[in-house]
Amino acid sequence: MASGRPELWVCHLGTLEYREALALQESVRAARQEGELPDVLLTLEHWPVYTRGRRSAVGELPMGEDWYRMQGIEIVETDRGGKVTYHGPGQLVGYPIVAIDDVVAYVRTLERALVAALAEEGIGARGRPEDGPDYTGVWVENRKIASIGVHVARGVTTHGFAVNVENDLQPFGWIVACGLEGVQMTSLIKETGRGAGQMRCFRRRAAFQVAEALGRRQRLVSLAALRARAGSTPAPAAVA
Amino acid sequence: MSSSRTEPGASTLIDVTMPQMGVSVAEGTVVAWRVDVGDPIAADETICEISTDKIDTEVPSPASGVVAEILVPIDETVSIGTVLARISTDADAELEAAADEPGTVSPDTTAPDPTKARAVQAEPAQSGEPAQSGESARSGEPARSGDSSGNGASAASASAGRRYSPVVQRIAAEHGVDLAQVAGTGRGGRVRKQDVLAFIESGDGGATEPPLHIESPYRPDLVPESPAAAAPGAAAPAAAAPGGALAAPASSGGATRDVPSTLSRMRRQIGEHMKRSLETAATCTTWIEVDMSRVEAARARLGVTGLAFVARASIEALREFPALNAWLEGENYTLHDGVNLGIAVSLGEDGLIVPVVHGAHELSEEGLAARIRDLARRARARQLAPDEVRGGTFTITNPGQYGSIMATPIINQPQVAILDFEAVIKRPVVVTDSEGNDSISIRPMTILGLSWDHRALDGAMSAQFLAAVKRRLEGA
Repeated sequence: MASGRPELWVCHLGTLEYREALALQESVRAARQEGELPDVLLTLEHWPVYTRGRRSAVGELPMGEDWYRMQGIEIVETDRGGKVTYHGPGQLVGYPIVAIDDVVAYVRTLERALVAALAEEGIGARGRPEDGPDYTGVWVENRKIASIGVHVARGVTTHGFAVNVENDLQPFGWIVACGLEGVQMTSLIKETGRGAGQMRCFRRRAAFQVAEALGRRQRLVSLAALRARAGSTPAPAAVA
Repeated sequence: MSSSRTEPGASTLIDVTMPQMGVSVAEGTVVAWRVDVGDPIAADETICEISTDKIDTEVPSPASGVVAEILVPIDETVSIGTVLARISTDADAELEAAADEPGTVSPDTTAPDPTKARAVQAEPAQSGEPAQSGESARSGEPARSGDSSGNGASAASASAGRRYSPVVQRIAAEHGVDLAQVAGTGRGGRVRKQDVLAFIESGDGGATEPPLHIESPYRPDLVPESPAAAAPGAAAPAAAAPGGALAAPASSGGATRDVPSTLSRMRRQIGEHMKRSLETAATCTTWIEVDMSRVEAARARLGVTGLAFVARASIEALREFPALNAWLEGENYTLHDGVNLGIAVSLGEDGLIVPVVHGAHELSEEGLAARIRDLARRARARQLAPDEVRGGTFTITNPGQYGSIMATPIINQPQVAILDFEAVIKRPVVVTDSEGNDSISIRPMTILGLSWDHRALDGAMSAQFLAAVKRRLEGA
């Protein structure tokens, strides 16, 4: 029954610099737009980084950039919308690069997939579409466990989701997140009380559930395979 | 998603409308314009980005041509179908249109009344007329199109005292164009981007290649600078690297309130270590005020943090006062030749860790800054090797980012001293010039605190050490 479904190529990248991952997303997107690749899900972790969107305000990084860099957190300017956010090791980042036609339905699909993956870990999570766009993401009660942000160009998505699995949550407290005052971040290990070492398992659950929710058949591929199909795709400088 | 209409004597205008992004979506917010009025655009090239539910979507241009109007400013939310902008069809069509009798209405007019309720005019003086490039100017028409062939026949080309937008200036500079030679088609004869581009293409500018990339919507250099100042209300087009938002979360959670919980292993270890230090050492703290003017200037130049300078100055002072670069274990006192510098790094709610820059005395400010950054980053990623947190001979702690000015740090055993570097704050201070005259000046000041072990040394030594650090930082 599954064989009739189109494929979702799932590629795990390890831990990447934000800029490298962005470049890779863009080349995969170009290939997807040209039909050289089927839908793709990149899973990865980022080195500690604050990414600042086009609509970020100056006061969102109140400690001053030097201080954040001293804490080992890079600051990357992106041209995306939205405000500043944090990524770091222990946070599962998923970039589905898929062709869609209904952007809102797509976001709800991602939320559903992550809720299902978290349920398998014994966490009762939910999306909150009724609370408005500021509450996009996945929540455990009033604590936010996953963020979602998507960009669509010529019908193909980039960016995606970030689930706090076992990452340090402190860097979220060092930024001013406008419109989300009083929101508490949580993580998989915080909710379950389990120790670190959950990433491997959760990453697979999440990828499977994303494929299910999109109605795709998961196929695990290497970065090399991805690159071979996306002819001109440049290699990321380093993959850990 | 687009419809067209024509205006008398003008080429066809294509409407760019807010697209339907999903069945449940009724409206969207414009978050960025990639183009300005007057810019050329190719079909399917991204003209703007819209956002709904934290999803940013690029809107492709429905036609090739020139951006005639931008009707919805950034951050405005409009319903599906609202006209966002109008595209004047491309140069060939313009030539054809220009060949028609003025006043002729071309046959493909469908002209649904555009939703004007929220519309804004990006450039009031243009009042919806297509911005044109190429050689379509015809005498007798209103001065909507300059003589872009460069023959200087345009009206309103008062070149003296003209002001140019940054985009125009940059393009002119890149192509060696004398802007005084370019006829302007903007309000009051202002030279717009397409005027200078047309001038260049006409050959008079000596250009050898077209300066714009329009074949791909992903070229970030399409609109590299914001001409917003020149066109109030128009979009500030940003560089074109696409991206999407991962939502910004707020503060991290702490322990559950009102319910006792056990300290983490790391917290317990830190507590034991600190308590042992206070029980072991005869801890005493000395402070000194330092004028950071020189450091503030230098660090901006070198692009490194103030901490790197304090570290470098401390290392040099330690070489002068090696009694502080030492371990005291029971009665065993070991002076160290080289400096292995510990830097306290916050791990947030988990605690802190002190990675060590081994051989720090061999490093410059830039080198120290790079090593500190690297260690801090790997500390946060929990990727330090055991050796990287051992063997420190002196430690610096730097919690001043919250604005605190003094602390009494606890010595990192078995070391004999630790330096605390807090916030740099502008203060009025008395300064004395070379002739002995006093005056009050505003200076970036900081207070360095040194906790030291009175078993190993005395106050005079610690004060001299601090004075040596101060001297180096102030550059005296």
